[in-house]
Amino acid sequence: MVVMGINMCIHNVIQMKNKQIRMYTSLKLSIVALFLCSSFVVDAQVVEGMITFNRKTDWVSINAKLPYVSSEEADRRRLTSGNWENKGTNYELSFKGDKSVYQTKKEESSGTYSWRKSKFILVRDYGKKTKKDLREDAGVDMLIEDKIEKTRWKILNEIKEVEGYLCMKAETKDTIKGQTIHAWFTDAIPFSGGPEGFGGLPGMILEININDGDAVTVATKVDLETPIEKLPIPKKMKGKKMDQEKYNSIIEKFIAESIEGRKNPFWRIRY
Amino acid sequence: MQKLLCGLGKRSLSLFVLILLSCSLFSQSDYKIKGILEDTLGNALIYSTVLLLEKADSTMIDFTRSAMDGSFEFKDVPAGQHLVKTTYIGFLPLTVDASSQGEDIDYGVMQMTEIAAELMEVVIKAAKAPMRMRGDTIEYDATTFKVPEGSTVEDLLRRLPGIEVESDGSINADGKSVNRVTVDGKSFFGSDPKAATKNLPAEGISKVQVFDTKTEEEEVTVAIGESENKTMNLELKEEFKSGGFGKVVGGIGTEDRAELKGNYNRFNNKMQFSMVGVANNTGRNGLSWDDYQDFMGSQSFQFDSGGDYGFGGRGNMIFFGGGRGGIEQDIQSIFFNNDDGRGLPENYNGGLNLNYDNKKTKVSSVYYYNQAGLLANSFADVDKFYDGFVQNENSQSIRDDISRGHRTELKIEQKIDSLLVLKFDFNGAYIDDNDTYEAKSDLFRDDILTSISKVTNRTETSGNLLNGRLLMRKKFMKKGRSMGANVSLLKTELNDDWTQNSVLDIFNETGLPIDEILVDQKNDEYRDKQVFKANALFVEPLSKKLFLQSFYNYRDRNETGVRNVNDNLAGEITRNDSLSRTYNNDIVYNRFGSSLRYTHEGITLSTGLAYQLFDLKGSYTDGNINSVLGTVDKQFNNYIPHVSLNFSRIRNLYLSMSYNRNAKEPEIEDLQPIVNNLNPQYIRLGNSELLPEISNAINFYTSKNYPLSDIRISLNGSVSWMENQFSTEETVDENLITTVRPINFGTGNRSSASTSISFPIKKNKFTVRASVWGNLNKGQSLVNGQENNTTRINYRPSIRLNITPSEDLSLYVNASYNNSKTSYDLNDSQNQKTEDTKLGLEFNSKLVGGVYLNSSFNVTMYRNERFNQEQNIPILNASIYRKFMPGDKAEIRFAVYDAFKKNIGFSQNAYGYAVSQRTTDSISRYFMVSLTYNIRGMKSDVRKKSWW
Repeated sequence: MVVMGINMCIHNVIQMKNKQIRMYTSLKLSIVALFLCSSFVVDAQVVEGMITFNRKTDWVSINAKLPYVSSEEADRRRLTSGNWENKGTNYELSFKGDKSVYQTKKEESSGTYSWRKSKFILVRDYGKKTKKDLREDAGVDMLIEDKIEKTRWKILNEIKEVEGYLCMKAETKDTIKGQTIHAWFTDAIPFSGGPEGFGGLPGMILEININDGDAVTVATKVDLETPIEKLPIPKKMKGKKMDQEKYNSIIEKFIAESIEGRKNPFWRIRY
Repeated sequence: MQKLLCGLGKRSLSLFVLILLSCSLFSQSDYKIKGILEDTLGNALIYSTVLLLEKADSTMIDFTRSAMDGSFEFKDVPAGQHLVKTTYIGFLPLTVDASSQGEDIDYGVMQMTEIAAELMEVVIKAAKAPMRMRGDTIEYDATTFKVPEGSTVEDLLRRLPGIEVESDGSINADGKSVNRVTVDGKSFFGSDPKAATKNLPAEGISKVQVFDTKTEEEEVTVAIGESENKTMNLELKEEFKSGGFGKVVGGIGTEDRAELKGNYNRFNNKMQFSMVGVANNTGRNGLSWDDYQDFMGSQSFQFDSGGDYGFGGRGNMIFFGGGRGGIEQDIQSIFFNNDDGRGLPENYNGGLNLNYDNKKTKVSSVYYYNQAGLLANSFADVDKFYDGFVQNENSQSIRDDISRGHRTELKIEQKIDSLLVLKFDFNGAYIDDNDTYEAKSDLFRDDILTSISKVTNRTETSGNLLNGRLLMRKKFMKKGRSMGANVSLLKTELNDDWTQNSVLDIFNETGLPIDEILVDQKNDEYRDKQVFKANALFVEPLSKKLFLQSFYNYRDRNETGVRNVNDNLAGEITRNDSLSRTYNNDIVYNRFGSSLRYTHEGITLSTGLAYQLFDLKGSYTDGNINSVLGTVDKQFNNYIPHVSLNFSRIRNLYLSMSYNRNAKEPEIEDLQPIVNNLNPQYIRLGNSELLPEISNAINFYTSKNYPLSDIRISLNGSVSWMENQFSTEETVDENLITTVRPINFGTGNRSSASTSISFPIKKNKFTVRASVWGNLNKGQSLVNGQENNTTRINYRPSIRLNITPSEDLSLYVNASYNNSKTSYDLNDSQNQKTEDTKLGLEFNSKLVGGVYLNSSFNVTMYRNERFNQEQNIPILNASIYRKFMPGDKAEIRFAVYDAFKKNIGFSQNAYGYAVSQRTTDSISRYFMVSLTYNIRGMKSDVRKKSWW
C-alpha cells in the first residue's frame, strides 16, 4: 500500500473524500485508510477531467433590477414570463495539469430551429498565470489575452453538496457588472479553477451563483475517470485583441449607455 | 530570501509581494502559524484545507492542506489581523484568531467537532440543502424537506434534525428553547412563537434559521458566549410573496365625452387572477399591450400555432375568415379592437382571467365581454371608370350599430411525463348585433343624374360558437424525434332577421323619371357551420443535423343554411321563391406532405412537397320540397412545394428567404347562388363554380446590427402571384345598376420592397430612422365583359427622429410621403395620382412644480392631382398632468383633443378601377379632465418605451 503511485493515492483521497459524503458512517475507516498512503500525497496536485455545467439565467429578476424598470413593469414581466421553462445552456470545463478550457457544449439539434451560439471560450493557464478568452459581447468577437487577475474571495461558513461533492461557499464582487458572486468549491478536486473563468480557490468550483440566482452555473456531471489526452482548445480563436482593462472599459461603457437608453445591456453582453 | 521563495511555492507569489510591501512599510516582521488538526477522538485529520483569512472581511490570503499527521503551517505571514479557518468534510469548520505583530503562533492540537451524522445525512445528502454555520449553530434550507400538502410549519419542524417540538407546540433547537419566532425577520403576531409555526403553511417556507440573537451579527468569527434562548426565523418562499397591481382611470369631458378604465390583478407563482373593464365614448379603447399582459398573465403569448401542422415549425396552412358578425374572432383581437377615429363610438369591454400553473398542470380560463356601438354619418364620393364613361356616386349614409359579445376560453395542459403533453382547449361565444343603415345615393353617368336610391335596412343577428380541441405532443428518447396530433370540432350557428326597404328612381338623359324599383322585404336566415379537423405530424432525425418532417391534415367543413326572403306587398307578406334559398355545402380537404430540414448552428434550411385534395359538394334549393335548383360537385388537387432558409450564422446578421404556395378555398357566401340586394344599385351574386385560389409568394428579409454603435439596417422584399385569383365580374346596365359576381380571374401580381436604417447621431440623445417602402400591384377584373388591368405603383419614404436631450425632455418627429399612381387600361384618361404627406410631432416635457406636458401634433395632407383636390388635416392633442398623494399613487390630467377642430374622418383611396373620398362626422375638439389611481404608484416618463 505504501508504495502506491502518487496519482493512485490522490485518486484514493478524492474518492474517499467523496465516499465520506455518500457514506458518512465509513468516515473513520477512510481516515485509517488514508494513513496508509504515502506522504507525497499532500503536495501532489495532479488532477484531470471534464465537468459539464448548466447555466440558467433568470431574465425576470435581471430585468427587475434595471434602474429604469418600475416595480409594476417588473411585476408584469414576472406575471407574463415567470413560469417559462428554462433549460439553460450547457458548458464543458476540461482541465489537465494547471490548464483548463471552458466552452459552450456542442449540442445536438432538437430538429426544429437552430440559432447561432455566441462564441465563448475561456482558456486558463494557472501555471503561467495567463488567460486567453474569446467572447462575443456587444456584438463583437473579443479576444482577451492577459494575466489572470487575483480574485478577492471571502470564505463563508456554508456547505452544501453539488454533484456528490461537499462544497464550501466563497464570495466575491464584480464591480463592473454590479454583481455579487457566490462560488461553491470542493477541496476534493484539487484544481484551483472553475466555470465562467472563476478560480483561485483551494479546489474546483462546482457552482457559480450570480446575484442570488440571476445566473446560476452548476455542475451536472463530473468525470474524473476519462483521461484527457489533450485539452480541447480550439486552434482558431479569432477576435479583436485586447487586454482585460480594455475589455472592462468597453463593457462598463456599454452597460452605462444601454441603461441610459433604457435597454437591457445583458441582452447583448453576458450577464 | 532564497529559502523563503522555495518555501512559499508558486501560489503564494502575491503573498510574497505583500510581504515585501509590508516589510518595507512597517518594520514589523513576518510570523509563522502552525497547528495539528485532530478529531475529538484524537485521530489526525489529513489533507484538510486550512485557510488564512483577513480578519476584517474573511478575504482569503492563502491556503494549505494538512499533512499526514494532521499538521499544517503558514510561513512568512505578514504581521496583522488574521484568522485561520480549518475545514474538513463532516466537521464543523474551526475558526481561530491568528493575529500577530510578528510572534509565531502555534495552536498545538486543534480539535474539530463532527457535524452530527444525522444532519449530514438528512440535510446534505437527502435534502441537498446548503448548511450554514455560525459558530456552532447550524442553519439550513428547509425547501427540500417534503411534507404532506396542507402541513403547518410545526409539522415541518418535526422533521428537521436538531429540532424538537413538544406536545404543547413549544420548540427546542439543539436542546435550547426557542422563545421567539420571526417571519422574514419580522415578529409574527406578537410574541407567541407558536402562532407562526401553528398557522403558516409549510409549503410557504424557504428557510428555517435558528440562532442565538446575540451572535447574529457574528457571521464569520468564533461564536462568543452562549445565550439561554434561541430565535427562529422563517423565511417565506418568493412565490408566496404575491405580487399585484391595479389602476383606475376616470375622465369627463366636454361634448358629452367620458371614459372609465380599470384593471386589477393579483398573482403568485401558481395562481394569477385579473380583471379589466373599459367604458368610453372617446374612441380610444385605451387598452395597450401592457394591459393585455396584465390581463392574460402567463397566457399572453401563445406559442403553439393552433395545431394545423405544415412545412415549418408553424402551421403553414389555409385558414378561413372570421365570418360575418365576427363570431370567430378571438379574445385577443377583441381586446385590441380600436376604432379608426371615424364616427361616434361608445364602447364597453371587460373580463376576468384566472390562470393556474404548477410545473405539471396549466389551467387558464378567461371570460370577456364587449359591446361596441358606432354612430356614423358619412359622405362618400366615388368615381368608377368604365369603357367610354365615368360613373360618379354621391352618397350620404347613417349607420347605427351596436354589437355585443360574450366570449370564454378554457385551456388545460397536462404534462403526463417529461416527454408527453396533453392539451385541451375550449372556446365558447355568444354574440348579437343590431344594425340600422340608412342611405341616399345619387348616381351620375358622365355628370348626368341617372338614378337615386334611398335605402333603409335593419338587421338583427345573434349567434353562438362552440369549439373544442384535443392536442397531444410527444417527444421520444431519441433526440429530435417527435410527434403531434390533434382533433378539433368547431360549431357555429347564426340567426339573422332583417327588413329591407329601398326605393330606386331611374331617370333618362333629360332628367325625367322612367322607372321606380321598390323593395320591401322581411327576411330571415339561419346559418350553421361545422368544421372538423384532424392533424398529425411526425419528425424523424435522419442524422444530427437532418430531419424528415411528415404531416397530414384533414378538414371537413360543412355549412347549411335557410334563407327566407318575403316580399311585403301593401302589408301582405309573400314568400319570394326566386330569392329564398336553402343550401348545404361540404368541403373536404386532405393534405399530406413531407419536408427535409437541415438545421445546425444558425442555419435552418427546409424543402418539401405536399399534395392536397379538395372535394366540394353542395346543393341548393328555393326552400320548397323537391326543388333542387343546383348542385356543386368538384374535386381538384394540387402539388404544393415549399422552400425556406433561415440564416443567422454570421454575427449580427440575420437572413431569411422562403417560397410558399398556398391554396385558399372560396368563402361560402361567394359560393352560394344567393342574390344580395341590400344596395339596389349594387347587386351581389354568388358563384357556385368558384375554385380555390392558389397563391405563390417569395419573401426575403435581411437585417444587420452594429450593437456597439447602435446601428440597424434591414431590407425586406416580397413577390407574389396567384392562380385562379379571386376577382370580380361586374356588369353595369344602362341604368348604372351594377351586378357583381365573384370569379376566378387573373394572376394579381404584387411585389413590394422596403429598407430601413436606424442610427444615432448622438447616442441615446438623437437617433434617426429612415426608411423607404415601395409597392407594385397589378390586378385584373372583368367589367362588362372586358378585361380591366389596374396597375398601382406606390412609394413611401419616411423618417423618424427621436430627440431625447435630457431625462425631462423628449421630441419625436416623424414624416412620411406616400405617392400612389394608379393606371387603368380600360380608361387611361382616368389615371390617378394621389399623395398623402404626414408630419407628426410629439413633444413631452417636465414643467415646473412636478407638472408634465404631453403633446402631439399630426398633419396629414391629402392631394389628388387629377381632381385638383387638396385636404389638409391638422390634429393637435395636448395634456398636462401631475402626480399626487404619497407614493405618487394618483395623477390628475387636463387634456384637449383635436384643438383645431379639424377631424372630419377623412380617407381617400384608389382601387380597382375606382377612386373614392369619404368623410365621416367624427369626434372633434373636446376637453377632458381625468384622474388616475394606481396602487403601485404612477411613473411619469417623458420617453417612449424602448423595445430593444
